[in-house]
Amino acid sequence: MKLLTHNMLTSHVRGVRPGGGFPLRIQATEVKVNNVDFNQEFVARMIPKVEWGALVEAAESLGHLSDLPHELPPEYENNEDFLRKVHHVLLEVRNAPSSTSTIHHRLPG
Amino acid sequence: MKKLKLKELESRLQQVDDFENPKLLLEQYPTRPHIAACMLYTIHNTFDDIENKVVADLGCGCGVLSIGSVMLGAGLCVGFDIDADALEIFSRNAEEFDLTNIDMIQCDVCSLAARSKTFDTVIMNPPFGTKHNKGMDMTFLKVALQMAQTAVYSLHKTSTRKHIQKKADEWKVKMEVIAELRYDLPASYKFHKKSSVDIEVDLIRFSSEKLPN
Repeated sequence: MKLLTHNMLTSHVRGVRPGGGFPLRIQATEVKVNNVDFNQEFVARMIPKVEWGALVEAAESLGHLSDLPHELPPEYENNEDFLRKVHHVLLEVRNAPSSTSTIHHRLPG
Repeated sequence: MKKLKLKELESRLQQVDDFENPKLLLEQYPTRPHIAACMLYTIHNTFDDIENKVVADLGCGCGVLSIGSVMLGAGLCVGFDIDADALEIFSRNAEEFDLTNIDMIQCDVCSLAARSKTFDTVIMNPPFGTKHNKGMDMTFLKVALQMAQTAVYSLHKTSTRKHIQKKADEWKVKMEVIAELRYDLPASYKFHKKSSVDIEVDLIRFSSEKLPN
């Protein structure tokens, strides 16, 4: 699963922890990196949709923090260096043993 | 990005592999390349809801709609399906076309949850909910509406249009039939007596825009 997908999904399973089922549990059993064409406009448009803290946490847990800052920098829209890092984390890194992922619910206990 | 013509899109989608052993209980009817191409082309050209968008494809099967979306410039398309075998074929298809803006998740769409309105567009050819899973199309639609910020595009049997309109009114979503299509259903299963049968389907756009009074 790509980290952009991971950031958008949540779990229906109730009583997991305050805040509900977001973010999904992520396992770094196998981390893959694929090249994806950089689309600056798309990445810049995705950033406001993303839960930034959860993205940084997920990237870190997969060992691909890629210098992402814990706080979203101001005026990132034209900061190509920064957007390239975000592109890498959102679309190129994924955590799957194969090309498909199953949603793992974060179970209580 | 170079503009892709409808014919070109259709002929590329003809190379997408389909179900090897369709599963009756999951209503695995393939979305034919012609239907898929018409559907995506309209969504792209009339509404601009694909290029640079995050698209979800619910009940994606072997991924023909996802693959077509990425060909038309989707920033990311995520396919969701319960069937691991179908996703395996989808994954091979994506590799063969060398498409990387694609993700696939194995899950039951009925219990899928996304943060509200995080996807731009949802496209789907849901199970029609006619055999053993009555109402499944509406369950898919409900999930899709929760995920999509701009619009949901879905195929439904024309014979159920009134019922769908009633539900749309109830859920306060705008519903527009944007195309009437003939769905050529090849005889995939033993209970089909004819070699193929045409059924009428609507391509419907659902959006939360307010209806003018």
